Amino acid sequence: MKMDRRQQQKQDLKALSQSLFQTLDTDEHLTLAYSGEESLFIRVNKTTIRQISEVTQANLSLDFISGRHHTECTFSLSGDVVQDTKQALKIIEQCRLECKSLPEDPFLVLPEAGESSEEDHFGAFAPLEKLADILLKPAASLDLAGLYAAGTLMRASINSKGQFHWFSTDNFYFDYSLYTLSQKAIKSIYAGNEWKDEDYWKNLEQAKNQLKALDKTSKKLSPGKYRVYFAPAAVAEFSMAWSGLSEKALKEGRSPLKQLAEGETKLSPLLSLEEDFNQGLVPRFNEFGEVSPLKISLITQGKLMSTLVNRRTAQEYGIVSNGANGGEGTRSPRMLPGHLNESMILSSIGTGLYVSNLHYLNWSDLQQGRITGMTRYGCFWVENGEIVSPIQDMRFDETLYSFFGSNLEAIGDTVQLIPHTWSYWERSLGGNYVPGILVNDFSFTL
Amino acid sequence: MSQNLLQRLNKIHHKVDWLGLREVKEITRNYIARNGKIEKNTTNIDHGCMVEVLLNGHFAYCGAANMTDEALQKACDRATLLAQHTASWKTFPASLDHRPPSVGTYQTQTPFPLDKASPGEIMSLLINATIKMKVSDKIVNCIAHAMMIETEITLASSTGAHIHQQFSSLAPYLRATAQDGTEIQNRSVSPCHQGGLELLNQAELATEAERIGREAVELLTAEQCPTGVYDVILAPDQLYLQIHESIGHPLELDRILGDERNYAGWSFVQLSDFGHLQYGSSLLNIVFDPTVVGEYASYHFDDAGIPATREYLIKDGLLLRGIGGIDSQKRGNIPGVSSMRAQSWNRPPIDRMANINLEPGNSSFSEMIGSVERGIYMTTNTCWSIDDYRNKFQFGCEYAKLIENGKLTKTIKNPNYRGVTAPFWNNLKMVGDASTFEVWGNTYCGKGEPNQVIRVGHATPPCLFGNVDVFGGA
Repeated sequence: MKMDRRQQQKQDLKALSQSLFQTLDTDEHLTLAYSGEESLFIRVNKTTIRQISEVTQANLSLDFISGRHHTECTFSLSGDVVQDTKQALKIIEQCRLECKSLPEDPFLVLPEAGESSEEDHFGAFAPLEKLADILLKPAASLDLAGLYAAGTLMRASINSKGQFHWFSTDNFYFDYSLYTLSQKAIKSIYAGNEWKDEDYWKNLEQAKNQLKALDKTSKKLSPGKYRVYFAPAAVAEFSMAWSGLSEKALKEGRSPLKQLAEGETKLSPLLSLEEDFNQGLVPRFNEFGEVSPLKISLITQGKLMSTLVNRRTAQEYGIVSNGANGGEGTRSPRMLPGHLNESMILSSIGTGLYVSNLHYLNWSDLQQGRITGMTRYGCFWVENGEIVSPIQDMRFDETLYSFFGSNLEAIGDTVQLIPHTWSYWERSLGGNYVPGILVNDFSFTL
Repeated sequence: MSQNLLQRLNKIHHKVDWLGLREVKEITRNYIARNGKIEKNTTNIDHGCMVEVLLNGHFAYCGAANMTDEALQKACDRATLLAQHTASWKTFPASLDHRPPSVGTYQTQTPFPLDKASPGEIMSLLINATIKMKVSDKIVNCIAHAMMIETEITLASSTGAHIHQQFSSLAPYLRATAQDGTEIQNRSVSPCHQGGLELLNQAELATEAERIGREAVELLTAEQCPTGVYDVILAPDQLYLQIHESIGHPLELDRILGDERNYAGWSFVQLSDFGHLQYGSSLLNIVFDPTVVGEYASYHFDDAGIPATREYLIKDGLLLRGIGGIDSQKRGNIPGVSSMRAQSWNRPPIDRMANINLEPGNSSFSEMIGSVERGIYMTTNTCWSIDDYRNKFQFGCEYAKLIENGKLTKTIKNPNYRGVTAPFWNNLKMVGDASTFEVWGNTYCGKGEPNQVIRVGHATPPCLFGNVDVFGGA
């Protein structure tokens, strides 16, 4: 999106919000959360275009408080500031009526005056008229499936105490997989803010080379415990463990990290995790307008240092918020690197598995931190420090207190960004910064 | 909602072979109570239009939330440009046959529309349910949630299609968490149906709330689920998800054709399997049935405008037909069903499940229990995972009972089982009769790139399976 159009969006949002704030009575408060995108999606199957779509959409959430009563309403913005203001004013009337019928909210989060911020990241996309050729011609001899997504993402938080936070970024990703004739696959992603043909070609070439390793017959493994190296993309899947850092989840008995929080079990002293906003991939402000510290140490050398606490949880339990979002999830997590150099990965495995990706993880025993899931894409059997063959996909069932705890042997010395590619309702921001990990006695079950 | 979408479409200047508009307005209200207090009251109003064009045998889409004539014209121009620039790379050639000029309507039948109660009245019901759940001091968290969804979808096309469908749905959710020292157990219930406020019955809510509260406490002292190979009876509130994951998804034609390979995955089913593969035992009968009144994904037309009809996917265990809309049917030269559906106006339609139901058999529940010497009866899903070919699965349930010598005996906790799809369904030994048939569903079935969620319905009786690999907690 061009700078002037983004400025226009900001101005429209400021104008709209002022029109709303002017209508508030003395005991009324309003916090607005804005989320918008202009996104182009190209879905690819067999190196052809299966579907192309573009969407321009934005939503405005009105968090309305009247006395001790509270309600929220989100609506689709049309982009016409006059029409949108009219609709928002109607919604405020509706919110007033709802508040009259609802009981008092015991844990109200009132908006606060504070500093405002504006952050814009500009990028450059491949030109639409050549895009199909740019994406597909270099892969014409391959069987490629994937999704190209590109455009501008915008977020804002504005409140009736005068606070205005704005974040926007241009970004793209081409999340794709390549297939052999026998339908074994390698997964890759090329992502960034500025499309460069040469970088894409390099990325594709690397994936092509990895595909060659899949030519051999796949080894069928028996269920049992194996020594495993998980590449960064696989470790990113294990990040579901960090949902347990939510203070509210801990209080409600739905955190897989309860044993860690209560000191019953430790994680490996090799493991450290931070919430790190220095990379600027996501806004530091949350939907309440709160700004998170630049860095929060969550787990240091296996010990829990801090949970994620939002203002509502803080109200309920009489503790201090640290700027977490409504769901108290990590927004910019970074696992700290260790000492395992890439050149030493295979020799460090010795005999075992190299797992590049995982699939469909879920909690099989939340209280014990046990996760089940599948291996996927290029995963290999390694013997005496050398790749022998790909493997047939295996189901695992293992507790995080083992693979992030007593059986964690080493952590890679390089941290890689695995961008979020979710696009349910809207495209996601951010990703996980993770290294690879080497784990002993990892349980495969089927 | 624009009542004159066809007239508005006719105002658009275009040079495409076919033009379609799909306007969607969806209002979702979430009411959440927790531990006797209000937790959250939210409304989401989603409204916009997807413009779809067919040019040079290629479909392209442009969605916008602005419903003015000028905005629709702009979206049409943009979709045309997208089609022009990418048609030479299209996966398959499409024609006007893919989008027939269907005309019709649909409306969820309900005696009590969702807007006939105030937020305060609904919240009061839910707060009361959380109070009923707290049957003991060991109950540490109680949640009661009601999601109410009103949806209007209007389709219009340059060849004369004009369809208007209105849906009303309600999905209550209750969860009780019990704790004793380090032991924590949950019980929940999460039905979902089309209908109105009749689905939020105060007495039923209170009864269910008390039941799950009692059962959560009961689980605190229950024995761990044993490990071994057992006969297993799956209750409908678990079996519906087994059907969803290991029958619904692998039968989706777009998966079989490879569209999903980079995200949700492929399928062990191949096009050549239809008419030949013995998917399950002869007791297995699966229908695609968007005609069931009150089931979550009933409709008259899909988002390509194809009339929806009931079809057998699996009959007497034999695989007959896939879950694929008109585009996949023509690509694969294979019969399918009316199943091209989009999450909302902002996504193109893809092959989705609607109501995928397992037909009742002839066994009463007591006959099934009575036939088992040593087995396990599992109820209410809590964990699900399956591989990208939909073969190796693992499921976990909240609550189970041991079956010993034809009788339900001890309560057991943390029941899990795993298996492989076709052998599992071929071990289907008994199917519950019509008296045991229950309608369930799921609000958030995820699939597609860009990602989409959709509502699906699944109805099933309880069923008995032999030789199931069962295990308990860590």
